[in-house]
Amino acid sequence: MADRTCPPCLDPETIIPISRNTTAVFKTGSWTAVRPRFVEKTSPCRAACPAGNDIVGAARAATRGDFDAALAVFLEESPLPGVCGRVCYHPCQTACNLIGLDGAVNVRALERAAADHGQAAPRLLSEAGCDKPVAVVGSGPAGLTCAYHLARLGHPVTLMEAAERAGGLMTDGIPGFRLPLAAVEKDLQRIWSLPVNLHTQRFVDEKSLAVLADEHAAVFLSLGADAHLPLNVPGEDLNGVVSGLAFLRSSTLRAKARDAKVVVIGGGNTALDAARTALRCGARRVQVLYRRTQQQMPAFEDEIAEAGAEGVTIEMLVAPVAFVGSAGRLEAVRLIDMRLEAPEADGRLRPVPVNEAPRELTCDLAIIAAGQAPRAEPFLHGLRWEKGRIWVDGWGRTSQPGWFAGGDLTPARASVVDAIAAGKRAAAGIHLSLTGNQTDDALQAVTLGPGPAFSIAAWVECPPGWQPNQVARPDPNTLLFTPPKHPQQLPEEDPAVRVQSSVEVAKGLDPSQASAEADRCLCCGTCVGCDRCLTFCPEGVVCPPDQAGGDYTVRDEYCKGCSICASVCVRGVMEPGGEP
Amino acid sequence: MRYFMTGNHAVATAVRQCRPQVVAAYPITPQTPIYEKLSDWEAEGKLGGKMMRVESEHSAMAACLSASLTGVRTFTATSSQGLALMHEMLHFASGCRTAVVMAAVNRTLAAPWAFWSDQTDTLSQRDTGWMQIYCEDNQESADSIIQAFKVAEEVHLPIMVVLEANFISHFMEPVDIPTQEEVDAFLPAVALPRRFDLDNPGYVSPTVTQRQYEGYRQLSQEAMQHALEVIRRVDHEFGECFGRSYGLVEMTGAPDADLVLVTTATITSTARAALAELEQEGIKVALCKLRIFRPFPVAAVRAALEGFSRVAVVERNISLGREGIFCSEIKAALVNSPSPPKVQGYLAGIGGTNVDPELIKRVVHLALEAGEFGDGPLWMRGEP
Amino acid sequence: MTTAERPLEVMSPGQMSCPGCGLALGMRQVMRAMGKRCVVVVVPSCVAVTTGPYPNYTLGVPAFHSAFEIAAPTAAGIRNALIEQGQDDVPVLAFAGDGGTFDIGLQSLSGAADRNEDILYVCMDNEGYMNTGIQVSSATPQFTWTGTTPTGNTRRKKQIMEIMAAHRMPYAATASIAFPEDLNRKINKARQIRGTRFFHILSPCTTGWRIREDMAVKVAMLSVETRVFPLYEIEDGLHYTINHQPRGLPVERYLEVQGRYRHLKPEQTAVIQTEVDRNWQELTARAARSGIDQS
Repeated sequence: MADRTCPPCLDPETIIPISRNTTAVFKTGSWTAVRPRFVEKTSPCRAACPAGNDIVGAARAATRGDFDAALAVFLEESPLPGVCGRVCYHPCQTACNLIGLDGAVNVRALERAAADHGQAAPRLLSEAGCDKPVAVVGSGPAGLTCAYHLARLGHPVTLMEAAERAGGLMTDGIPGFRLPLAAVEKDLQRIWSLPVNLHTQRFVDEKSLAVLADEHAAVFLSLGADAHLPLNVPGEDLNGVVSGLAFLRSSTLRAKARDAKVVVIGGGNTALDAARTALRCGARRVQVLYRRTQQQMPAFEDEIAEAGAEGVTIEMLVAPVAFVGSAGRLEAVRLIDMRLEAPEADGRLRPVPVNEAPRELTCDLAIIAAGQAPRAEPFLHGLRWEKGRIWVDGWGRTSQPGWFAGGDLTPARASVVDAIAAGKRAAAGIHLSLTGNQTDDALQAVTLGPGPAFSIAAWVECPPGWQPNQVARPDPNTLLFTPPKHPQQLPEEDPAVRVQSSVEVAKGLDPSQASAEADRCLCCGTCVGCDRCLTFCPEGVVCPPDQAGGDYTVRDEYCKGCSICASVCVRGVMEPGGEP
Repeated sequence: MRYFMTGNHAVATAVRQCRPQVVAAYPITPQTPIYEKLSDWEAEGKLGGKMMRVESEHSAMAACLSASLTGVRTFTATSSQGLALMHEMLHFASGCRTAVVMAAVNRTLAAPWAFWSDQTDTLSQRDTGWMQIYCEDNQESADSIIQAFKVAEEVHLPIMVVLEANFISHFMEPVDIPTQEEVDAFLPAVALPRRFDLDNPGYVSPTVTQRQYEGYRQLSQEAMQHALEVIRRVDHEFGECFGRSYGLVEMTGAPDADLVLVTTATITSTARAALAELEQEGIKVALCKLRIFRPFPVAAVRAALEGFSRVAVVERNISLGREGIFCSEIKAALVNSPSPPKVQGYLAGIGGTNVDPELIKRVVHLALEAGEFGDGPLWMRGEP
Repeated sequence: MTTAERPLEVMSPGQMSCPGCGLALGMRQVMRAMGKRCVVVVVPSCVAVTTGPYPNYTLGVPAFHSAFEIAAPTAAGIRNALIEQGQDDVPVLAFAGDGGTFDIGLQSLSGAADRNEDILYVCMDNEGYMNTGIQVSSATPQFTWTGTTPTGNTRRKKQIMEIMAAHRMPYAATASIAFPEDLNRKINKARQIRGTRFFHILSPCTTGWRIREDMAVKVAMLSVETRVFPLYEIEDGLHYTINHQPRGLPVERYLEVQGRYRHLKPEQTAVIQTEVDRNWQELTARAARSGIDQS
């Protein structure tokens, strides 16, 4: 209609409605005040790990095959990844979000892979003016960890060890088929690269301790608990009745197991270590006798299974009342059956004897591994005790100012990782007290989940926007968004073959297997930039970060608060709406 | 050049010459020869454009209107049940201001079933916003097709060219077919707005408010009224090019008679013959042929009929509950005249019954001799 | 994903859908895959509501809101006209709801598919007439609560993919808002094909399914993983390819999160499970007969 004036009723532009503007004028964000939030937080595995390892960070490095970086991540929080990668009871795996779906990520195997396949040096965390020397007594995992972190923080450390070499139970308590010496040595070498002065074969008594305390700004006691606890039954002094730790430490005692019928009294790791060692020493048969049930055995489940596979039999609800023999030699153990009754103070059901006649079980060697206690050193007498151990507060402080303690000496769970946690906590406590700071609130901001584990790396330099107190727990249905990935099979030596020698039982994952296993990790709590929140927003109003590693945000003017972005966030970083 | 052909064939020929770009159709007696002829030409490569052999008339109109919005010339044809099925889409095609051209062959609407001529099918679509041309014979049907494309594309409203089943669709008559060049000169290439333009995207036919809808309705009404002038002008131009024009209404017979008959379509031809005989008998009657029904040519109708004292409307349809639709519309056009004539409606040929000159003469006698006219229609039940 | 890899957003924000609408998300995903060079037909449905009232609309491409039952021939009319105008490279896509596809629009869709009209037809299936409240359609599954089946739907869901397969058109596929890569791949594959291409996208409706506002994607995922809504393609009506191996979770996982199934009795759940299992077996058998490797 170019050449004549067009009446409105014939003008193509006006005769029918045609929308030409976008809906961007409708600020649908006004429909609700609810907004989803981007909050990076702690993974449940990390919150459950007493050492506070950044498992997600390590898994991401391992996924891309960078085991050096993965190792460096572990070394930020723990000096003993090679050890933990073999003997830790992996509370991380029990907490893993995948446990109900395709199976927990084998974090322990990943830690081992990082230690075995990676090279890294511990990073220093020095602050100016905190170079006060500290003394550590006992070089088991608690003492080593305390020394490690203090040295990283700039403190010269004097490390005293009574035995011939460092390591505590790691080197002379846990047998080599579970924890090879070479693996321990590899971890220790990294610690010696720091200003930690190790003095072996130096037994600390009251007098030398006083000198140490005088010459150092603080003392950390990690003597362990390796004094044998006898059963106090008749015949315990017969030849052929030995303590568990002594058996593990002495080749003479181990030789007694050859061709012997062996019984082991107890249900903890020491008992099972002793049992499996006895098999390897050529015992004819090995029976573990435990007075409660398998569920209550303190020994780690993996160990119980491995022992069973090797031929160790475990008899439950039975306790010795006497050892019998002739001519001073053990010939049998007299046993009564037990049953479980009402719970004790610690919650465990109390075993009581069943009123029947005892029976006898012939044996040549009886290994008693029913618990240890700290050696009764005189300098410990003045300290406050609790449940047969030295009492400490949350920071490892004993009742004596300037004296800290941790590990089996204190009432913590008797494990390597709990000892590491104690050593680390005490290192923080010592460092804060020496720099004149209050400890209680200082580390709250880097406590992982409900605690008590914390991140020393974050304490020094906290990633912005990270909420470590919050743990990522996506809804189980959210996990179904990920495709099924089944766990890597860990190679193992055939049980019948492996009891012939002290070859390491668990083989560990090779690098490609480890990467595949690490790839199963969902990276709970850490945004990996998958863009799911952006892809699934019905309004198209989720914005990607403006730089790498930044936050995803929503456009307030349009967000209707539906929180689909949170529902699809597999890492649990996007949270459903709260008030803005 | 003159050819002896059926009305359907004539319509199909005219359509082909107008170069449609999308034809969407569904068969229904008595329209099928139009559809088949176009299919033959398509197969021979003579048609051009795209034929959509759709699965219902409703879909045919859906496809035509959307193709028209895209900016191409479109055509369909139907009848009776098919037209009724299209009803929703007829409103839509008009509301979207498309330029769809449709040949509507008047056929009885069921129930009961019957297949002969009756105008109720197209008249039932009176309110859908389509222009309607009622044709008297094969020639006018073909010519009106060519005019229709031009009118619709200028006014942006759809148009139906109405021809009766059997009497036009299947009767053979001599028809003057112009050359393709002559048609091209009269009807240039389509220049419809292209509503789906990637460079200027928009959303056609969204939801509007009450006030906005009212506004668009008013614009459509204004376009309809403007269309009367366009139709008249195009018809006049057609006459200049091809020597034939038909007007909005056509007056014949004695201008000083008391009675004027109003007819449409083929009944007009019959009335012409009857009037010639009556003139021999000395009876003076005038004849007004109503060609354009929508938009209704009020001024032309009033000018044509005002001078008479009696008007007899003879039609092949009824709106049940009232009377023949043309009769009501004629009455409405005359009601504001200074001294409007009396109007009586006569129903003839409903269901396709034969309307012969004898019947028309009976109507004339009845109309001249009646004392008062009644408000309801009189049934002229002719011979079956 | 980097900016360079992210698909361009075609639809504008500020759309009129309910918060958490699965259908709106599906539209957005389809349009990302289509890009700006297309014409879209919309018919009365929640698609039309989402698109917006005059003078604003979200689609960003030339579009047309036609009548309820004629998405397919409308799209075909536009496509044929575009071809006549020499715009052969501009595809036309029709969005319709389940009502406009399974019920009132089935005839015209069948006609278009039979003629192999060159259009993409995308059915956004929220299993009921949701635009007009919540009324039952032939896409509503058995036992489902709706406003017009308050004691549970007595009929079963129409097998629309089988109906479309019977037309032997080049391409038909199911797709899910919870599997965007699969949906994107299929749209892009369909764009390369001439003829009628049909998509069936299950679009959970927060209002009509009685699910929480954040649940649409999760429910869509569960529909796939429980085999209620498998992801597959049918080429030429005969060759079946299953695109995703579901975990095969029990149907309860899908039903228990929807309020429209709150009233279900155990025997009804069992019937649903049997039906799902049978349909899955039939599908896998067809895929096996097709002799095409499962992707």
